[in-house]
Amino acid sequence: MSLTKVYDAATVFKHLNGIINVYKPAGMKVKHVRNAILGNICKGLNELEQREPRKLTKDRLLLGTGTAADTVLHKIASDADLSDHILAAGPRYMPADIKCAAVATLGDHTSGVLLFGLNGGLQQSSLIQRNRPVRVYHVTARMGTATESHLPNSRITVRANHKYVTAERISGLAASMQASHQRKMYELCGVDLQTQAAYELACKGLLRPADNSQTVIYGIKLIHFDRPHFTLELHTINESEEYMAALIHDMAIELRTVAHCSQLRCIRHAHFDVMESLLRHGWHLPGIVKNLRQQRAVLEAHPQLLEQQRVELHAAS
Amino acid sequence: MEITLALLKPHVLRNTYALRQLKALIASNFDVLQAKEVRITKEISECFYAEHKGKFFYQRLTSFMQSGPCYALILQSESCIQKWRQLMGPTKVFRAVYTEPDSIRALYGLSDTRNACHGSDSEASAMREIGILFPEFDVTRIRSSQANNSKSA
Amino acid sequence: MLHSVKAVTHRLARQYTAKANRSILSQDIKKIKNYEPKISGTHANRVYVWGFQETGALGLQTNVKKAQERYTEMVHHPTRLQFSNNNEITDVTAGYGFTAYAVKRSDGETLFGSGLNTDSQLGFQVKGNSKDPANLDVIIYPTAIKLPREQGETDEDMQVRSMSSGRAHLVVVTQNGTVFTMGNNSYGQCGRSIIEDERYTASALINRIPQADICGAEDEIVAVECGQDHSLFLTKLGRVYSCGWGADGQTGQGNYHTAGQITLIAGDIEKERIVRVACSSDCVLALNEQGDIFGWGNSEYGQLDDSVDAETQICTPRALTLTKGIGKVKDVAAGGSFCMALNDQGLVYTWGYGILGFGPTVEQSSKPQHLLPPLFGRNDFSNATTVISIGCGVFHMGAVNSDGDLFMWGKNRFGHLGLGHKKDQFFPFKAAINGKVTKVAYGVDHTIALCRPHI
Repeated sequence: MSLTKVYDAATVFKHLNGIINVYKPAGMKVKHVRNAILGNICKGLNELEQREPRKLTKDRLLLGTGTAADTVLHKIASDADLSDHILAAGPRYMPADIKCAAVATLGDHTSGVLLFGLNGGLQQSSLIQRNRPVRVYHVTARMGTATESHLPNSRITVRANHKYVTAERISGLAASMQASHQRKMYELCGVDLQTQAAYELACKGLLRPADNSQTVIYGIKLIHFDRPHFTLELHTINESEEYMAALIHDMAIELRTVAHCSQLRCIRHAHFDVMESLLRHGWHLPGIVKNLRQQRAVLEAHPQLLEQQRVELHAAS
Repeated sequence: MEITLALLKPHVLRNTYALRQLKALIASNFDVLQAKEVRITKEISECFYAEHKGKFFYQRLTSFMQSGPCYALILQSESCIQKWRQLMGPTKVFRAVYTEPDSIRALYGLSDTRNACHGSDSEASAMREIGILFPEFDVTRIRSSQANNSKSA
Repeated sequence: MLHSVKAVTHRLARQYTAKANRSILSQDIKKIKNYEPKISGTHANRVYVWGFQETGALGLQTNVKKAQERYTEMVHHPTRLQFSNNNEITDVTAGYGFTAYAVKRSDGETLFGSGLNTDSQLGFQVKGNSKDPANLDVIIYPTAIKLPREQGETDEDMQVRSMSSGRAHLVVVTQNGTVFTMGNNSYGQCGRSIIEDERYTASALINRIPQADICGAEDEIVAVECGQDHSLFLTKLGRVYSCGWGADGQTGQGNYHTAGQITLIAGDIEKERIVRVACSSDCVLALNEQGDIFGWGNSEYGQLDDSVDAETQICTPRALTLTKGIGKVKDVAAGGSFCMALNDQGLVYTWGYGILGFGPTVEQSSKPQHLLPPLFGRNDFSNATTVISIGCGVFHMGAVNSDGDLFMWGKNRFGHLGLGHKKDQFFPFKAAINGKVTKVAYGVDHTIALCRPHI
């Protein structure tokens, strides 16, 4: 396939379908990320070669009187409809013209992979959402202080010592919590434990929950420990920022200290990796178009992302 | 009315809770004519289980009964032989826990030998077994009252 | 210092921030309350108990009257034993309706027990309450069992090396190699000759046997294992000694008699170095150094022999042929009507009769089959997890994996699977225990787990 350079906004817009993977900065709402991206797309489109104003029909009825002054006017507006000119009608592309929806939302304090479906990709985005794929987070906790909301931007409630907390203790607790959550997953997948079906599912390993009301954690692993901070890798479904922050808080209580969640980063959403995520300085039209193409390749490589699967969880999906 | 012999085996007797439960169960289902703690000697158990002589479990059955005192009861009620056997459940405890999980043997049995209790399987054997464990008990009195009952009926 | 305070007040005065943020910034960290939790570092182990409570085997109650006021017949959830908070428990064993704990304490007591004491299986107990001193059939809270000492025996000598309990007897081996037996001896399971019509209730008799009397001076006893009514002793040189009820051949002495004398077992294990003996009822499995399985005792459900005209009682140890195909075996366990084995790849094999772990059927199979690793917590997120130890009671089975999680399945008699309900469990399911399980004692209707806390 030979690449041809496109200068024409309409052609670009026509191909603006699919999933994009953007890196949401912490402290920014998803709504604002969406607005910024749509604004940048429009800005980029409007900078390209625009469509000429519409032509007026030849045999239009003239309202003029047929005086000399009128002929001058006629000559200027002979072929273009001035009401359709950019200077009169405003920019050709507005954010509202582009359909855009997030696959799953992220909390305000969370940074990382955020997927949007654009125009024709809305269909795909809702399919991915319905599959409830696993999201992977790196959650950093700061031991020593607890806050009201378990997140950094709220009042500190309690302080505690944490000199006796070691990496072994945390990873031991993490392994035990992981096993307990995996046990919970059977209860949430909607299968009666006394049946053959339950046994067969249990032999397959991991299951996904029957609906998206309940949070399930598949994996908890300590990946970094640097007092007073430690970082956990969480593999979850149906999570929310508050849930993970509360989890950190509960773990800390179990470790005989207190902690709040200082950072949350989503590093993977299904097969969409943080490495391909579009950083804020790349949120411009060429970047977005390139990203669309990358994510399309990901979807082609993993067609199961779009199919509705059975209850069992596929490896690392 | 029928009478039967019920025998609670040594290990149940040592489990105070099980004994309490079983006594309550028996009291709510039967009239207890006579009850006593008995020590079953080798002679008594050999006589008691004479019908099983030669079977592979004969030795362990008789020796198990000797391991401590047993509790013997004479029960009376309508078709009490059948009723008591129903309450006890299957002889084999390992099967009883799955087939009849609420029976006495499933709840308090430990293994096929330590199956918590014994009950007579017929009227004849009930009379025979009562005769062995309660020699002082006057079976004829019951018989005659039974006869009277049948007459009046 | 002054400068920084000035800077802060200056920043606050400029009202950059929202009111909510200002209240956060103006918080004085020094005035915030300090949380000082109690650290459980003093004792390395904690104990969780669950199952049938009325016998007192769980040791959770502290007051009989209070216990009667509410429904406490069974405990379905693993519950932390208060006794383990202030005592360092090193070992546990669970019999029929009673439990014994090996404890390290400064006052020299090494053995505690709770539960049924109708045969004095928890030693001679005298209650402090003068109103009801005789009623000591049930001990509701762990109480010291005084082991009779000889001149010059120290607390260290009396620490428990190994212990095991049966239906109504308890066998303990201490560090200096003395065997103590207590409880019912009607079959000679306490290793002393049988006395006709002996009274076991409120008996102060604790039998004391030096290990040299059992296995000679050059060998030593490393482990004891009790069936319901017999006892097995395993020595350092890999020999097995037995005593007790042999009506199913479970003493392995070549006959079906009761044995009040502790005797060396021969048969196929005569020249083998046995490293593990497992038994919970009347069927015994033994494991040698090479990982081959031997068995004797009750085989009514095809546990030991799968041939058509198989004997139902085997009184001489025999090398099992039915487990030949499962590779090198690391651990074995024998229940009432089933057996289990763990091979060096971490696969758990089960056979016999009962809930073997293969779905909602009660089955009879003499062919060992393995349970799939995902059932024991192996998955994409923890792909190195394997089973490291197995065990079983008379009616239920359990396995502990390398993450320290306990998985249970089988008949849920009085809630002794610890899964939070009374229904039977047909495949391995994790018991919710807050800690890494190091040892599990499987009783007839209760279960005790010794755990290491996360912190």
